[in-house]
Amino acid sequence: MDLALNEVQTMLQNSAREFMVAEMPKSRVLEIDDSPSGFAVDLWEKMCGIGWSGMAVPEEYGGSGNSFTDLGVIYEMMGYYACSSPHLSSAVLCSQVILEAGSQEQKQSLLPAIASGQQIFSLALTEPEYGWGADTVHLQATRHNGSFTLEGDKLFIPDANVADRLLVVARTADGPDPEHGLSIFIVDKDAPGVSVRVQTGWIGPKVCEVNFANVAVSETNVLGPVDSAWPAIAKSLDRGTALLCAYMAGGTQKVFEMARDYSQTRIAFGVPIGTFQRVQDHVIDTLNEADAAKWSAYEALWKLDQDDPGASVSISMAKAVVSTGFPKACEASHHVHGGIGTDLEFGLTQYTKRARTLQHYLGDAIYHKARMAKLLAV
Amino acid sequence: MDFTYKYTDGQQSFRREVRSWLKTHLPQELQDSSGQPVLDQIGWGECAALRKKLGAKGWLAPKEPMELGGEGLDPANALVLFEELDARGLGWLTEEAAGVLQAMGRRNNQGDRESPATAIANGRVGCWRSQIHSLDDLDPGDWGIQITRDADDCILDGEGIFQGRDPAPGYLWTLAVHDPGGHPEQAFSAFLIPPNLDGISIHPVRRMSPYQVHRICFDQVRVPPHCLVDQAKEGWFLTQSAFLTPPLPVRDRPLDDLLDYARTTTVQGVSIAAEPVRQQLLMEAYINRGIQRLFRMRDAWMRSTGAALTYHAAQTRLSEQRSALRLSEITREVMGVYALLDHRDARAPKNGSFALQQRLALADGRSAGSDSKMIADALGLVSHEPERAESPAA
Repeated sequence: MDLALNEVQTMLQNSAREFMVAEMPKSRVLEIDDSPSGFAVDLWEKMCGIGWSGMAVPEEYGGSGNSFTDLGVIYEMMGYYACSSPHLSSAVLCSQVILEAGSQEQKQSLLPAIASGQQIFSLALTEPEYGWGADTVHLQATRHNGSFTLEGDKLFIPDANVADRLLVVARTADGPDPEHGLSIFIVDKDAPGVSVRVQTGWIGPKVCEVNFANVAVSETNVLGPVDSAWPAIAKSLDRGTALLCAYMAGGTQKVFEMARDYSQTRIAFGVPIGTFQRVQDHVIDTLNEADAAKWSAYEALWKLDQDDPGASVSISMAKAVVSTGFPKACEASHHVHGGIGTDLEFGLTQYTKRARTLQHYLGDAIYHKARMAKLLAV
Repeated sequence: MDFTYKYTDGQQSFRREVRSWLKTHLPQELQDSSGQPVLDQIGWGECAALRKKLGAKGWLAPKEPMELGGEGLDPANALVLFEELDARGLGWLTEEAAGVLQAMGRRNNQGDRESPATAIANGRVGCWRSQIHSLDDLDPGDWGIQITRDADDCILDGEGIFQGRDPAPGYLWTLAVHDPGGHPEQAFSAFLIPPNLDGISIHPVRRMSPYQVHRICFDQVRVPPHCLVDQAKEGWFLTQSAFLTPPLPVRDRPLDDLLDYARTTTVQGVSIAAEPVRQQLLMEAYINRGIQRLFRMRDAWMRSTGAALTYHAAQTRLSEQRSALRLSEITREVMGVYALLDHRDARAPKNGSFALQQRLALADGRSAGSDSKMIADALGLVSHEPERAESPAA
């Protein structure tokens, strides 16, 4: 048992912290959140420039082949500073789908562009019947004269508005097993018949509705084998989920620290409010959520790196923990802060918004608890 | 990072030795762990005999040197022993004895067969001790037993709650306060006294806990100097080192039993674990246990690296207490009224172990407030406190 970060991870943590301190003051977070695209191209270029976009890609495809725990250290820091970027969509989820499903030729042609950040990919999986299992994918891809036609809608797709290409999961065959009959299509975002709309609401990272109206896709743009894409998608979702947990753990840690620090300095009735037991209870609740989030996320990442057979259970456990804990910690932190916490420029709301959005992304607690029960044969 | 706890070859070998010994010496009822309290299964007489056997083997105080009645085990093997005993419902035997011995300090034990420490280590006598859940309980102004000096003797007056399962203990380990207005670290002395001294009266207390506690009244009890444990005014430090050590990592039998029950119990031909609401509740309990395991692991790792635990141990305790209560609630929701049947009822699932968990979770007796306060203090959220004398360290 050794829960310490290794030398490389410690170095990554330090450099990530320095980067975030320089690039992500809270005013910048607000500025990016308020922008129509939710995307800062200069920030993304800098992230790619220091190699983050290639960390999950093996060296033979232009990446640096880091472990998921290495990447988790970066994600924890990104979450702590509420950093928005298409990293999870492109450099993790899509790179992993391509790695798992793609042919050698596809890997060689697609992965270097993702690793360098030259191209941004977005995974279009979820639909109006929002969910993260194979059973919620209904968008049809019809085969006709050596090509496919996509017809239908994808909803709540992160980063589709800034992506160059989409990996679209569609149904190519029906049958009793929903995991069978799914295929992945590589679609240019600007292809005829594709339209993207940024959805509105009190949402952290931007999500989009993507409509496919009679979109033609050639067979060469089918990623991997037709009808049997789900195992590759499921593996990629696991990896992305573990990293998302690290991001959310970082955010939870930050809202704990905000609550603690504010309670030490805000004076009411002549004393810091942190001396009031009720306020202390809120601060302690945020601490408990932060620690639970951190250790469950790191255990999941570690198991992923070990190729542990129990990794999927740990990943679902971690996501259930952070999906519940991050929003709860934000609410407790709001209780501590009172009115100032709702001031958009103060900085707490950026986390609350992310907590409530990411709570659902890649599966909420209900979904992951049901998945755990299935994996554990309960 | 490495989240696995790896047993060494030496530990594995020792585990085999322990299992073999237990197989030979344990009554059949305890060979497979049912989760039922040992006392309900074999009664006190057989339990006392078992305590003697364990004591003779040096396993009641496994970390103590052999000449003091222990077996001189290193902490890793002591943990293996505890795991094996606890899996058979016997962990408390070694916990009770080892805790008291640690709270006596080495100077009281000269390796003399007649010394109280040797008698306790050998399992020949039992000991009750003052019930203390956290250092916050040690408020000199609020402690029930006071000391006055009379030449070399001490006179004890007042009353306190004591815990211990031996119905006829050989000793009482108690704290008493010298100076109710003083700082806790210097206000207490500890005593190991026979329960038959003049002026002592014992009254059983009926509580939810399945384990007996007693209210003991001290009426001008004259205690000779040899009953003083260690030095005078060392009580706070002895308590801190002996009774407030973090919980040992043990198997969470109630949840395993609940999962098993839910898998195998059917309603209209369908397992109740397949029912979505119950399934969510079961997984919530599973996750809570996972978090406890991670917190314990973190604490153990921090200790092993010499890192200072600030809020951590209190957070782990608080979290465990909340989880136990939540498990109790989930058990009732998953099982319904069957969760309340105890071992005396033939229809009780798992021999009534669920009813036991219900009671234990509520009857833990520790106030969540004291752990919360420890965390708050460690975070620098200083609470309002009544004024008391300055710390000697200040």
